[in-house]
Amino acid sequence: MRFKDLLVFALISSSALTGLTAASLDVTAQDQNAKTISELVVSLTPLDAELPPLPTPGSLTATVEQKNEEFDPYVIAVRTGTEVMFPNLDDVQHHVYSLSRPAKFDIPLHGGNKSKSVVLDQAGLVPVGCNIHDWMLSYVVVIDSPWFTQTSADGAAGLSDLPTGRYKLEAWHPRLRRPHAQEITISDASNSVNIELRLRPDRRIRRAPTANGKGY
Amino acid sequence: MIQLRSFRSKLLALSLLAVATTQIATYFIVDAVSHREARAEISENLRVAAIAFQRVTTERISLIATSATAVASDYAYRQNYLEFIEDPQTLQSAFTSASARIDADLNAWVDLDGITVTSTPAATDENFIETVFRADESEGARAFGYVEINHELYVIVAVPIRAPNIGAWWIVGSRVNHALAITLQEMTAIDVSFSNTDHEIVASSLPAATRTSLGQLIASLPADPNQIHTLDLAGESSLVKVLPMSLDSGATFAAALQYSLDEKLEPARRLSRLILLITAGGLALACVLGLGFARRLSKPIQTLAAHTRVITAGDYETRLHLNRIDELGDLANAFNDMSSGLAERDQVRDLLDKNVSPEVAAQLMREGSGLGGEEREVTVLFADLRGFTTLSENMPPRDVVTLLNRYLDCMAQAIEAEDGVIDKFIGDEIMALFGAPIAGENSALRAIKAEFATEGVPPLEFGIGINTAPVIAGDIGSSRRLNYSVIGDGVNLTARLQSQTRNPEFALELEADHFLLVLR
Repeated sequence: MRFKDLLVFALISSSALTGLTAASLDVTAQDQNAKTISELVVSLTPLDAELPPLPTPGSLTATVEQKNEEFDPYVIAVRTGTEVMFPNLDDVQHHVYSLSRPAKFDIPLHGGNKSKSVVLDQAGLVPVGCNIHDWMLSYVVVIDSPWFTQTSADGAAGLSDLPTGRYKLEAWHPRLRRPHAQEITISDASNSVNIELRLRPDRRIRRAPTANGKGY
Repeated sequence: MIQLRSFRSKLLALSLLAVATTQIATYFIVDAVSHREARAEISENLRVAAIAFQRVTTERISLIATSATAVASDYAYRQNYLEFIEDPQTLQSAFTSASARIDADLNAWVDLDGITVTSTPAATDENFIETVFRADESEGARAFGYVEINHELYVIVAVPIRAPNIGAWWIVGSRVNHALAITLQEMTAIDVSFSNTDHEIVASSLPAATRTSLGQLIASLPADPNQIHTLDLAGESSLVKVLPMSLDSGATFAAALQYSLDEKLEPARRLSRLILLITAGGLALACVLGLGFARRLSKPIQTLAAHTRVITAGDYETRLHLNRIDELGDLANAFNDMSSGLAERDQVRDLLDKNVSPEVAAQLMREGSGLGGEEREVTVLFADLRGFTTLSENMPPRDVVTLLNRYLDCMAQAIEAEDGVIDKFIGDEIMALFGAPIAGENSALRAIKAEFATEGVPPLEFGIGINTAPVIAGDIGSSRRLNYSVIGDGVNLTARLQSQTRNPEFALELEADHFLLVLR
């Protein structure tokens, strides 16, 4: 169990103790072959209430490492206004860029573990690449809502502290043709939703074989 | 039916027939085998060509795809493509330059929704959507397809523009043109033609006349890769296989693979001509050899036939000289042996005639000789010259022999005239038989008539004894020497009767039909 899950568990436990009305949602996801979907970004946007105000830009941080000539993580969801750092842990230099509409940035060739960061202040999909390594790709999903999560390897994810009500559930994955959206109502203390999605083949560029034989 | 009368023409006809049959059979067998082989070879070539065709087009478009991917990965293009996609004019002009770098004939942009943003030549969304969809669904994010735009055929590839994720599709294509057809032809030695959905030939490696000819027929040919059509193209017999090719629109166009049967059969035709030539030569040779052989065979046969006629005419002396060591030579030798045999037999007969009476000779020739005899009634005649001893003493011996021969000759003629047979001459005495060896009627009377016939011929005096008695008649003697003769008491009695004629007291008197010996 990851630290985050523990934290969620602790929060749920504490709210129950304090008597606050907050619900949780368990999400599971399968593809067309009944295989669990990991790295699926799931977010909820209330339909009948205003979103909580956005945090001060830069008050939240996230990290996308350049390690072993790959971005890590491959998919990350962040709240709008998060400062994402791109540390280069490799011996070789990287040229990180994004040509996306929400965030068009360019971190010219850099190396030596120098951390460069970008504040992502617009919601949307920010694909990040390295100009000199075509196979390096990372997706930063920038979300206005505070209620978002990502499925783990077993295809499950959980959300807590959800006020009851109707939500627009959105799911995004690199292998989805279109983002998935559906309406969901949170009414009980614990809710669950199972999402079935049709995934396309993984179309990432095959990594060029390296001296140590690594590649996809 | 022609009747060949002469042996020579029969032999000639036979040898010609043998040669002609063999050669004509060879010709037809070679022709049939060549045709079958050529067809099998061509269909195999066509099969290989169909594979090569797929291979070449795939490789060609792969090359373009790889180049396009390289160009699309250019950071400058990546950086700007989002702006370009908002400004199709600039996009088109920028990528016209890019497509020129990779030698593409078709250049189009399709967004992630399948909308054709821009295309040169002008195209609709439907032209590319299928290929883009397949590319989008594939792991390699790349797909090939065939499209028809303005009656022209293109083989296209969709490659993604990654910035760094897939943001749009770049479609590049190569026109299916004569150059492609010629490249394929050079690789496979099979001519290739492509016809569009209207059955118009848009690209071909064929010469213009053949192309036109194929163009008139192609609409009627079913596009079945398992079928091979035999067509007459501009006067040349060709085998054609039509491969159906699917367009992204779902329609089909055709790739016709063609191989000239005439061209393939040319070596076989040369061989056939050679065989015909050999046939003609063989027939001529068979003619000459057959004639010569027949002549060599028939000439001695004619000579033999001529010689047979010589023998028939009674010439046993002429000999046949063929100077051959074969069967005909043996035959000639046998003929010569036969002539010798006939001559010998003639000689024997002649000698026999002189030494025995003609009747005995005839019987001997007919029945051969053998010891033994038979009892029969024979009239025996003995005649003896009177005073011959005295006469021979007073005459030179040669005159005696001449006289004696003359006497005996006259006597023999008279006896033989009455069917008598001279049994033997005993000096000046004659023994003759009537009724043997051939029985005759009135042999006694004949003997007397014979005697009377001789009467008065020579101025000689002789005594005669005649007696008819049963005697043993036959070949008498040793196995090496035989005489036809008779023995018995009757013979002795006859001899005694004759000797009694020396006695002047006896005379012969004729009374009625028999003689009487009377005392004077």
